Amino acid sequence: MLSELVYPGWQATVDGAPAPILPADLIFRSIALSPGRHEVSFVFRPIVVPAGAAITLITISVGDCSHRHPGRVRKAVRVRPAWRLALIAWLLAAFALRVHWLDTRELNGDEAFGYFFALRPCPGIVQATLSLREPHPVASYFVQKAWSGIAGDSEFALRFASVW
Amino acid sequence: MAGRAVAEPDRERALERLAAPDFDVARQIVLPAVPPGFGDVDACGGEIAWRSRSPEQLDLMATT
Repeated sequence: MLSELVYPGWQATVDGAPAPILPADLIFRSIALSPGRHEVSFVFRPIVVPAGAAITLITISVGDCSHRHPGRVRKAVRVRPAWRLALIAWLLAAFALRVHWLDTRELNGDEAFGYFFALRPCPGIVQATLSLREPHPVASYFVQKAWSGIAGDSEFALRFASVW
Repeated sequence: MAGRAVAEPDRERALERLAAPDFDVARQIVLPAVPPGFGDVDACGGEIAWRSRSPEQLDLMATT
C-alpha cells in the first residue's frame, strides 16, 4: 500500500507489466504482489493532458492560419463564419473537457483543507495562516470564501473557481 | 507492506472496519474486492527500497 491518494490517471506496473491499482482503506493506492522481489512503478498519465494539449495546439494552429497574410500590411482580418463557429465549438469542447467529472470525486487532501480553512471568518483566516505558518497566501482563501458564499459548497462549485 | 487484505465493497461498512479496535492498520488493508489468491494470505513483512520519486513517477523495489 502506498500512502498516496487514489486518483484517476495513475498507472502501475509490476516488473514492467501493467498492474491494477486497488483503492486500499478507501483512499490509498495499493497493488497486489506475489512473494519475491519486484520492480514497481507508479506513473501519472492522465488522459486529459494529451487531450488538452491537442486542443491547444489545434486552436493555436487554426488561429495562426486565420491571421496569416504574407506580403501584406496587416489590416483587419476577416475570419470566415465557419472558422469562427469551429473555433467557438473547439473552445467550448475544451471547456467541457475541463469541467467534465469535476464533481465525481469527493474533496480530498488540500482541497478539503482549503475548504475548512475558508469556513473561518476573515480575521480567523489571517490568524490561522500566521499561527499555522500556512504557505498559501490568504487571498486564495478569501476568494474561496466569497465564491462558496455565492455558488455554494458542492464539489463542483468549490472546484469551479479553480477552472478559470 | 500489508500482509492481509479484507474485502468490503460497502463504503460505510469499510469505514466501520477501519475504525474497529481489532483492525491493525499496519498489517491489514480494506479493499472493495480482493484479487484472487491474496485474501487468505497473512504474510506481513518485506522491504521497500525507493529508486526514484517525483510528482509524476514513483519507482521502488519491493521484496515480500
